[in-house]
Order: sequence, then structure tokens, then C-alpha cells
Amino acid sequence: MMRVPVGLRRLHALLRKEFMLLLRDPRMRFFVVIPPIIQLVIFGFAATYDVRFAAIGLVDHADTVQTRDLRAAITGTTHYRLERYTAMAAAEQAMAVGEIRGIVVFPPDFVRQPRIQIVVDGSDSNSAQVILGQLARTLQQAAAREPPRISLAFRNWFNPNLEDRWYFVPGVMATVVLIATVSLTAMGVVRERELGTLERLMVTPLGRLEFVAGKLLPVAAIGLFDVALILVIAIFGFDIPFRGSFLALFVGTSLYLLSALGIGLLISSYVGTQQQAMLLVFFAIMPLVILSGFAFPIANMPEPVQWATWLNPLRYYLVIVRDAFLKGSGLLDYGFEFLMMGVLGLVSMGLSMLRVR
Amino acid sequence: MNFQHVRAMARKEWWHLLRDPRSLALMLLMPTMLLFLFGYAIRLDISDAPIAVLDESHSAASRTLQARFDASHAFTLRHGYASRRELREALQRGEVWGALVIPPDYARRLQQGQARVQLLLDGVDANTARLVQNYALLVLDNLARETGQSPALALQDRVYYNETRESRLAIVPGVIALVMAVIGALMTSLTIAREMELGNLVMLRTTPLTHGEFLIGKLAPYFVLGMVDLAVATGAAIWVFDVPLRGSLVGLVGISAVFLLVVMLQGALISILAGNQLLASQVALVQTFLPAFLLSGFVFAIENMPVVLQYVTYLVPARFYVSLSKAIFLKGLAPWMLWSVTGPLLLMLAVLAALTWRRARRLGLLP
Repeated sequence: MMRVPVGLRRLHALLRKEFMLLLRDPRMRFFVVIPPIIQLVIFGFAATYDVRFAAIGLVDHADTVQTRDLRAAITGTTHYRLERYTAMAAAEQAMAVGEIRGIVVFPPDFVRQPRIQIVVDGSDSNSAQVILGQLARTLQQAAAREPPRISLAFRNWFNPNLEDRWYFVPGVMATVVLIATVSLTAMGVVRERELGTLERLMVTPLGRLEFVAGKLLPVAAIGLFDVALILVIAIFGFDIPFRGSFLALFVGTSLYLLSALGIGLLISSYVGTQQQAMLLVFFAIMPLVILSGFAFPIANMPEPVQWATWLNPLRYYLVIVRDAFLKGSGLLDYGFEFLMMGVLGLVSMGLSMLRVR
Repeated sequence: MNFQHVRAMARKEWWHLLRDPRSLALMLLMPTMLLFLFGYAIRLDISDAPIAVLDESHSAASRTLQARFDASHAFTLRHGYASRRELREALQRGEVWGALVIPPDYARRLQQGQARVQLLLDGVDANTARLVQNYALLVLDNLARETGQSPALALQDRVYYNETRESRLAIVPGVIALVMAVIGALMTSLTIAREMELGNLVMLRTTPLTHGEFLIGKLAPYFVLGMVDLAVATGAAIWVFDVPLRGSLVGLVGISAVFLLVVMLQGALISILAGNQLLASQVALVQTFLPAFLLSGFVFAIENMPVVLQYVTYLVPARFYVSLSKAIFLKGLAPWMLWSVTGPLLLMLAVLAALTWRRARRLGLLP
């Protein structure tokens, strides 16, 4: 049976020791604060699928008034810059070494028969799609003689200008916190075992639950601190609208941390050395991040993989964080997500407590 | 440099690796798992995107339009929404990715040649929204063509290096880079810190081992393991995921060896500078996975990033390796044809080797 924690004083002593252990090293203190900020800023800007400032090769064999208008339409979008080539071979060579990302070819008989060839660099498949779509749309609109019979008006809700940053910054926040908390938990527990201090703790009147609480609470505190820090930067630095309720985000974050710490604890119960712990942390974190909907929508995955994502707490937290920022949903909209994260957290913690005797 | 000393050190490290079969298994399984995840689970294209329909026109023409959307592999239509409010709620809950609104006067205005429909999109996932827009326009273009309105231009599009337009082909060569970046740094970042933390280094100081011999002996087994990982990953890419290797295999192996050395030296340097495993692991985690994932051009094209960040990516070795890997696999180039990419990688190797060498001197071993 688990022992009920007797004295708060004992826990207090342990917590003090843990906080000191974690934050004694000034480099470690630095590490809790600075990297989350740097990561958020760098990755928040880096993660974008949108094509901007792309260099497109232009091979204009016709060179007439019509092609000049179409060229102007392409540069007029401000997303593209045209580089002229006299021969297709030269343009292809430039695309092979990555100087340009697509080629627009006007054939010599363009005036008589308006045909255009668009070639894109498929070694970057998403950009290829975006460039193809945008160029085709721009050229057709510019060349159209009459208005289309059916015109389509788009309205993008929650993110009117389709800013990738609005989508990815909340995701980076969730990912950064996950990596930090899972690894700190796993390494922290295993460290005691590897250095032999766990045996020393065993002879003290400390209960198992108290030991775990002492290990987890400081990491949870660091996780909450990081979330708060990143939140401030996202709202004031990145100007991302925060439309939802802070309460929903706080409850969600707490449950998310519970499940993240649970994963960390479970990992620590399987390993004996810090090296193993770190390998396993990596082994676990990569699928968690990749199969969360952070960068790749879950709905596009094959069905069996979609089922696997049900076990991924990051998946639920991402919904909560993104909605809290952009959609402005309230506390009551996330019953299912809260439940799943809570269950995942409790199950993983329970399992690891059973495993460690 | 005494070769026997190096061998003894390498042997010890090799035993250390073999004695821990679980870690070894993880190191060998990691590339397979990552390749599976990215090659099989990830699609960058959309298919069967759920789109709600609100048909206020109730006409034959509006049903034709719906049928066209439904026939596209990109969309699945969801019916049963009675008002714009319900559409908004469905978008809010994330049930559908977009909502097609066909106004009451659609049929009448179509006869006049000026119909309008509206597509409301969930803009939270901006990229998906962009793809949905492109596909929706494509559907309308095709419909217009069938009803006799020929487009002003005949567009012919081609996707070079990836004619079948499968995102897998573009992703898998990049995954190999991710695998190598993570494994290389991960394996080495804790080894030296571990010796320092457990106090073994003090014992080594009493032996005739020099710091150079220590470093080389320590890293050699991991290099072998890393090259095995590379072979597994490359083999899987070619035979399991059908990615064509159009360039030189020798070039690929050569540049991979250089890249592996770069990331291993990065790990070793972290290890020496940190001095304990907890800190080393945190630095290595921050330094490898996310940068190799987000800053390498592996999924997010570097050219799309703000210019300042494009300079930052020059600090990430995976950036160079990703473009080389893609160039060798898909474009059929060789490393020596891309000096602007190969050069910086070699320079990085030299700088990191010099730095690690100098730092290792301070470990207190024989010079």
C-alpha cells in the first residue's frame, strides 16, 4: 500500500533539495529561462509553409505586350521575383542548384495560341503545391477576358490573413514545454538511481509518494513558468490574439503537465542510466511531436496512425492552446480533451508507481 | 598518437555499448521508426477535407456544383447545416475545415453568367486553408470549362524531380538527415559527461592515455554505429519507400560521413562543456531535434523564412545536409557539384574538430 504523506515538513525539505539540485547550477538556471524564449522566437518565425519572396525563372520566347502584362501580374503579387533566362536549359540548371524554385515558360507562338508552361521544384513538395496554385490563379485572373461565371469568395475565419505564425507559435509553446518537462522528469529520477543516492533516500522515512511528489513538483513548476513566459511573449511579442479564457488554458496546461510528467516518470521506470533515459525520451518525444498535428494535420494521416494519436496528450493540448488563442472557446468546450489528458496522466503515473517498488 | 591506446579506449567504449543492449536497440531502431513515421504517416497533401454545405439555392445548378465538390478527392461534403450560425459553430468545434455557402440567387445569376458562392474557411491551420482554396478554385475551373467557358490560358504544369507529386519522395531524404542529426549528437553528448560525472576521468588521468587518443577512441564506436544507421535508413528509403537514388551513392556515403562527424563532434563538445549528464542532455535536446526539424529545410523551406532567420540556419549543420541529401536522391547531383553547400559543412567540421580538441585538453589527460 502507498503511504499517505505524513508531514508537510518532510515534503518541504525534499522540495527544497530538488529545487536546489535543479537550479543550483547557474547554467541550468539559464537553461530553464532562455532557451524557451529563443526557441519560441526562432521556431515561431521559421515554421511557415507560406511561400514568400520566391525567385521564379522566366523563359519568355514570345516577349510581347501580352506576356509583359502577365509577367507584371506575377511580380505584382509581391510573393515572387522573376529571373530571366534566355534558354530553358539554363533555367533548369538554376533550379537544380536551388537558385530558383520554379520556371514560367512562354512559347514563341504565345499570341496565336496562349499556352504557358509552369515548372516547379518538387524536392520541396509543399512549396511546389503552393507555388503552382498561386501562379496558376494569378495568370488565369490576369488573362481573363470576361468575369468568371462562378466566382468564389473566400473568408478565412479566426485567421483572416492566413498567418502561419498564428498557427505555429501556440504549437511551438506546447512542444517546447513537453520536451523540457518529460526529459527533466525522466533524467531527474534516474540520476538518483545512477549515482546511488536513491539507496540513501530509501533509508530515510521518506515514502514513495513523497519522493515522487518531490521530484515532480519542481518540474511542474518549471513547466508552468515556461508556459507563462511563452504566453506573454506570444501575446505581446508576436501579437497573436488571445481570444479564449485563461482559465481554460490554465486547467488544460495543468492536465497536460500531469500527462507529460507521467510519461517522464514511466520512462524513468524502464531505465537504469541517464544515457538510456535520454535515448528513450527522444524515442518517445519524436512520435509524440510528429503525430500531434503540430506540423502535419492528423486528418491527413492513415487511419491506424490516427487511432494511435488518441494516446498522445500533445494532440489534445494543441487543440486547447490553438483554440484558446484563435477561436476563443471557453472552459466548457474541452471536456473531452481535459478528460483524455487526465486519464493519460493518471494511467502513466499509476503504471510507473506500480513498476517502481 | 599511439594506435594501441586508441584501440583500447574504443574497445572499452564498444563493450560499454554492447553491455547495454536496450540502448543499442534504441539507437538502431530510431532510424526505422522515424522513417516509418515520416514516410508512412505524414502526408502534406489534403484528401477528403470535410466541408460543410449550406445550399440556400435548392436548384439543379447548385446540386451540380455540390456533386463536383464531392467528386474531387480533396473534399468530402457534410450536409445537414441549416444556417450560417450552425456553420460557424461547426467551424469553431473543428468538425469541418470549411463551409461552402451557395446563396439563394445562385441559379438565377448563373444564367446571367455571374454566380457567386462563398467558401468560409477555418484559418487556424493556414496552410491547409491555402490548399483547400487551391482545390476549390480547381473544381470551379473544371466546372466552368465543361459549361463552355474556356479559360483564357492553357496552363501546363510539371513538377520536376518528383513527377508523381508524392510528398513522401521529398520528405524521406530529409528524414535521413534528421535521423543522423539526432542520433549522432544524442549518442555522444552524454558519453564524456558521464565519465566526468561518475569520476572515471580522474582514473583515466593516471593512465598514459592522451586527450587525443581518448577523444578518438571514445567516438570511434559511435561513428561505426552511426554509419550502420545511415545504411539502414538509406536502404529503407530506397527499397521500402521507393525513393529513387538518382545521384552518386559514393557521394551520399561520403557526405553522410562528414555530416555524422560534425554532429558527433557537436555532441562531444556539449558533453565536455556541460560536465554533467542532466545539463548535457538538455543542451543536446534543445540543440538537435527541433533545429534539425524546423530549421533545416526538411519540411519548412528555408527560402520562406524571414531573411534574418535564413542566416541563423547557417549554424545548423542539418540545413546543409538536407539540401545535399535531396539533391543527391532526387536531382541526381553529387556533393562536389554543390560547393556552396558542401563547403560550409566541411568548414564546420574543421572548426568543431579544433574546438573539441582544444576543450578536451582541459580534461586533465596527458597532452
